[in-house]
Amino acid sequence: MLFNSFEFALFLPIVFILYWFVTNKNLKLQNLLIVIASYIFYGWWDWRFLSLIVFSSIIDYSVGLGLKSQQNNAKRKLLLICSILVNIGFLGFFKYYNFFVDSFVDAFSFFGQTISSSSLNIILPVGISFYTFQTLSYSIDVYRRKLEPTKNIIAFFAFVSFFPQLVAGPIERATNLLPQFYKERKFDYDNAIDGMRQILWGLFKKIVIADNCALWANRIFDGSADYSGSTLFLGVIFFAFQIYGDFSGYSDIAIGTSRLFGFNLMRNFAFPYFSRDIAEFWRRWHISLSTWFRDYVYIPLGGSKVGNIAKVRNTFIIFVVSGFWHGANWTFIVWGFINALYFLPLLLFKKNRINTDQVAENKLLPSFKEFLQMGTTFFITLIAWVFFRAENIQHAFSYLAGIFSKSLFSMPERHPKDVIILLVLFVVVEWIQRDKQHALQIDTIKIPRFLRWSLYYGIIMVIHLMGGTQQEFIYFQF
Amino acid sequence: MKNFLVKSLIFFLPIELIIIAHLTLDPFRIIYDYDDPYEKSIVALNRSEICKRVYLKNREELGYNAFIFGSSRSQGYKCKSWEKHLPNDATALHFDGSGEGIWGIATKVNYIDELGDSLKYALVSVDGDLLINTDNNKKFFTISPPEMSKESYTTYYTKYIQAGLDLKFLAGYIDMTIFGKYRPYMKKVISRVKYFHRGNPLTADVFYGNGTHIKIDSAGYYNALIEKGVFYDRNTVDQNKKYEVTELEIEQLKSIKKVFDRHKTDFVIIISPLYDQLPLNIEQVELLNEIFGSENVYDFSGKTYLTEPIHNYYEDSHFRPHVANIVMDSVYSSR
Repeated sequence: MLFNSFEFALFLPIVFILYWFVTNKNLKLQNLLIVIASYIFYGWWDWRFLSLIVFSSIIDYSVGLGLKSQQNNAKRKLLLICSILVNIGFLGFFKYYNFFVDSFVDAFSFFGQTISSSSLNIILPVGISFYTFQTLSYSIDVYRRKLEPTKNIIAFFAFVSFFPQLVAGPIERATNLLPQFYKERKFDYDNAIDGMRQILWGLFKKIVIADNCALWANRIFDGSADYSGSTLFLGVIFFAFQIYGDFSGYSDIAIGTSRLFGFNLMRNFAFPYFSRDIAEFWRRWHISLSTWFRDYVYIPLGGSKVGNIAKVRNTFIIFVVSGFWHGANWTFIVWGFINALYFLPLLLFKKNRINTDQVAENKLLPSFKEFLQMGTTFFITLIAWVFFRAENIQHAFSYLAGIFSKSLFSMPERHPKDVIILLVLFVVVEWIQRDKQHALQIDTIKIPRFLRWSLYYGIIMVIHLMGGTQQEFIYFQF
Repeated sequence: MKNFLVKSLIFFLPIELIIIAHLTLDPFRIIYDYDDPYEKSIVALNRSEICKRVYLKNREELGYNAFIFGSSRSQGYKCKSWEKHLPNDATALHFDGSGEGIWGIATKVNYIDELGDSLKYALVSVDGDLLINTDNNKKFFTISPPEMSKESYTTYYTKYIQAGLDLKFLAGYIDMTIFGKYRPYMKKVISRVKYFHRGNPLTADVFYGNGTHIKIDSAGYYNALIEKGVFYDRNTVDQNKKYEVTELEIEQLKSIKKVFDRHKTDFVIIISPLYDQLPLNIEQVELLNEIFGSENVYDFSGKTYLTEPIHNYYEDSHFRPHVANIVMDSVYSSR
């Protein structure tokens, strides 16, 4: 079920009413409702893949209990490996099987050998990359004794399948989300109202910004051979806002929806395009995934508290694995590799944590230096986005060669004025609100209701009138 | 919580009112049953939905076994006229779709098959536009009903809700319902009708309001359309226009033939006499001949005595029933 669908518009109020009015007196029943609602939400795509979630939940629940009762370290490790193998096994099979087979065949043919292979027609279960990482975090944290394993099977199943963030995150840590299922939830009016605002802003980002940009980004990337450098440059800007609007929009809707049910999810995006360097960008972009890799891969490898060679190795591992997580294609691996190249100098010269504050804090405009820094960071992320969006490596290189040609300084053949104006306004609003959790977080005391409601209706009208052609959320494919 | 609910109800009041208006007025004729859904309808209606409803309502009692398939261009063929060419046991239903493609026909044929009904006779009206249309056309008045498309009910009804939320439509519909006067801004969302269409509740045939208009004032009707440039100069049509054959088209045509074979259907494939006078390209005709047998394919496209006079057409797309009658006479006299 898509957040931007009629089905969800019906589903959400029904679950909301059942949650707060029918099951509110019994925590177990309330959690059970979440499990059922989440399975309906997920099964709407393809009910067959529900079995994967159920199986993964059973394995990790059992591993958790096994880790609690087991004191022998070797056996504890074995249990953890079992959880990792099951979760990564599912992911590997559904997401990467064909990639490995094809790459294997390509490698042999490169050396003049031909081997026959058979790719399988595998459908990627929606959200598998997200919920497998979430359940893995539980097993690892229990193994590390950072988290007490739960005996409450309904709470655990609800944690794994919690519908607002099941298919595209934020990837929650068991330490944050699971305990929320143990406690009685109280309806908080202000939290719910701001959750509604966050949902509205998320829908705006998805339906207006991302879907309109998608239309142009797709056209330009698909016909890249026919366009001038300036149009290609515009195309990658459209893609940058498409992916941002799409993914951060989804996260906003997920977080906002959770707030309606009395849950607090972790923040996933913090206005990343206002970053002054690439390290700051990665602290603000897809935060739940970056921190997951930091906590469960980077730090166990020694993190930055090791020698320079190990630091370089760790940085490449983390970024390349992160790229590969996004999809079974070499383009994502190269995208990760490029980001590692961007990040390494900052790490080696210990400059990776110089921009931890808010840019232009308490000021309306950035300084010239900050402006240049933000522009440069945005520009280098654009270069990397070309690899992320391209069909293959050759396409990415030819796209970049097209951008860096004389025609970069010509008038773009494609320059949809309405979308460009929309983007400028969007950036201005996000800039003004950059110190908030989301751009529609407004002071309800200072702004009278009439104005607030006018603003909400205005946004709804813009969504209605300017919404692009409905596209699925990009991150569902990851 | 109470405060939250009350405020939410107030905030969403405009949307609630729109929903209530739709439930009451049912502009798309999809909520309630109607003997004649076209009666006083000022909105384009979904033909597949109308035909499906007539079919499901009467299939047990009437036992349909003869079906006319095609797009709105098939509407010149009337069931009662067709039945005259068929054996006495034939009971016909017009089972067309707005903007129908080969995909739509295939799903309808399969639907009849699934329900276990007999498909003893079939008349399939085709043209180039129909043959290359191999997907579910998802506008509210063309989308295939979920019983046939096997897509979700919510996707289907969402199309109507989206269309109903269109402000231009809403304003136009309410304005027209209250004042009954067509205004320029209503163009493309509200049908400008002088005479309403009429539907046959047993055969699902539709009789165009234009037909009534022509009967009353033929000269006025055609002069107005000529003035508007509706009957364009056919010498300006690109004579090289080709409808490319695709794998999907072949697959879908074969699936139709497969069901016909299973039902031992006595069928005819009629290539429509269209106003543009372009003969259907040879690749398409050969494909139809190959799959359905040349003895079952009748080509009336191109420049003929039927396509020459403008009064054989309601406008530049739909030919009139008397043309369809001539076509059927010609087809069945040669069988």
